Amino acid sequence: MSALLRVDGIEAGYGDLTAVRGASLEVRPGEIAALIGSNGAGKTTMLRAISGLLPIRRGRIDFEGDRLDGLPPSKVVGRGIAHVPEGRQLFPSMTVLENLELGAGHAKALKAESLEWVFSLFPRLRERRQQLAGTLSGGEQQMVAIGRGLMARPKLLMLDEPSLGLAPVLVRAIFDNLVEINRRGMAILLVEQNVLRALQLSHRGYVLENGQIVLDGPRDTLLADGHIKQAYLGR
Amino acid sequence: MNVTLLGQAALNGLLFGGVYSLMAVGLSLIFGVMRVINLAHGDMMVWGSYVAFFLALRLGVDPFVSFLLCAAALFSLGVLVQRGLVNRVLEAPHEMQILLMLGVALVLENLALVIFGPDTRRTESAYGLETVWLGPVFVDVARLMTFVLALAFSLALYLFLFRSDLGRLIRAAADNSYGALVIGADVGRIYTVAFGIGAACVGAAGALMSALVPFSPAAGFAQTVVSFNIVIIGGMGSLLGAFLGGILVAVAESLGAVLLVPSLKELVSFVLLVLILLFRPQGLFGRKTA
Ligand SMILES: Nc1ncnc2c1ncn2[C@@H]1O[C@H](COP(=O)(O)OP(=O)(O)OP(=O)(O)O)[C@@H](O)[C@H]1O
Ligand SMILES: [Mg+2]
Repeated sequence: MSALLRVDGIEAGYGDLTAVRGASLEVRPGEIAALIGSNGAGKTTMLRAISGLLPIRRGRIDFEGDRLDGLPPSKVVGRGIAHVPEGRQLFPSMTVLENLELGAGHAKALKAESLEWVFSLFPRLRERRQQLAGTLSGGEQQMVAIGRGLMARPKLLMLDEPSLGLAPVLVRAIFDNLVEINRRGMAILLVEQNVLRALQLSHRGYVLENGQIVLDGPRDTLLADGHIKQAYLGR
Repeated sequence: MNVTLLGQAALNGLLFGGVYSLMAVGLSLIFGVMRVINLAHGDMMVWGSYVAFFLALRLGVDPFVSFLLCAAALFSLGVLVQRGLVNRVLEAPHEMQILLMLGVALVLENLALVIFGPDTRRTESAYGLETVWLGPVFVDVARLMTFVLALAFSLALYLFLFRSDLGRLIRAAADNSYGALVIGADVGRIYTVAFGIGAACVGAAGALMSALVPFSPAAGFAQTVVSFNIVIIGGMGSLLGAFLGGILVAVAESLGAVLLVPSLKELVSFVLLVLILLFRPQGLFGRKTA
């Protein structure tokens, strides 16, 4: 099967610092791929490079067979990639509804339908739609961030640590939602430090250490891998 | 000192407040979206006044009509300044931005001096001298017109910002510019439009005010200072604060001119400013930030 997203040997960083060095990965249509790694490994940098928020210095990125790198974020979203960023990055003084609708950018024609879908995934947001996003709880804010990404009706949804700072029960709910979203055929690239859970719901995974992919494979291979068990699963 | 006189002063101030509000809203919008302080704001206003003056003089267009053309002209100027200059220093340290905007202010002021001369002007309006008695007080029709038109302009801006897609994007970028990038908004275009609109507000304010108050190329700096005062009093980043702050400052100045000496009216707004800084530093409608 040909890849939806192919990242090929990219290098990216900040000033003199190279945060990602020669990393490659791919996401296939309809799958959930996990990108795991510890703090500072370069996971966020990878996602920002794919989104066009950060230029790459080497390598290339293709989406549906066409070159993606070098495009501004607005074009990347237009091509069908939505980014649910680290720290959510909502518009705190705007309402939940406004936040969601702003996500529809390139998919305005489907706005009403998308909104219905987001509200059915996160019924809580329907109740809170006129509330200012900045006044929501952390879990609710994460729902808005995911919902805002979905409003773009992307082919690929990239999430950067959606479980960060949430209570375990909420983490489970959010991850269940991701499986539900994926069932509708949307491919997902999931960045997580919650390694066990992330791998459990993914089809394949990549392990990033010091800006390099050190390991990749199907879920079961990774879950059984000695290095992963020792370094990330603590057993 | 009698009540009628005070009432008259308060009414005059209120009616004058519309232009203050409009110019402060423009400054607040530019600051809110780009975090850039438009030190050329008052000079842009003076250019709006000159456009109105010459449209009245040469073509006989009343400033209460031409203010829309002045807004359009200043929108273009704002777009040029943003695209050509401000855009380049958005990531630069604040002192760089301040120097640049001071430079723009100097250029605009001196360009006006070269082209229009140092004379004080006032735009002719058909309504210039009309008054209507309302019981014990009179209403200056020109002031009433400026007030209504400034209010209408502000309302149109409100509807644009809260009801249109581009307006919502501008608010989103003001709220979280990184978030706006993430959702795929063209933030460069948003900035350009926002600066243009901020300049259009002050251009319209300049046109309306030019029928009430004499102006000259040198008048710009004082208007920048007043706009600045109002925005701080109303609360940085709050458009409603800028709007209500404009009316508050105008009423306070007008009352101050009656209660004290007319030449001390500026003092009143500075006293207001100091009080706000002492007791409510985030401004009347500003959010508390760490
Ligand atoms: N804006 C920045 N400026 C400079 N260095 C940065 C910046 N953002 C990240 N870095 C550095 O780049 C490296 C990779 O950071 P990155 O945020 O990609 O890691 P991460 O895997 O997402 O970590 P975490 O799990 O903590 O979010 C780190 O060493 C970090 O300090
Ligand atoms: Mg990260």
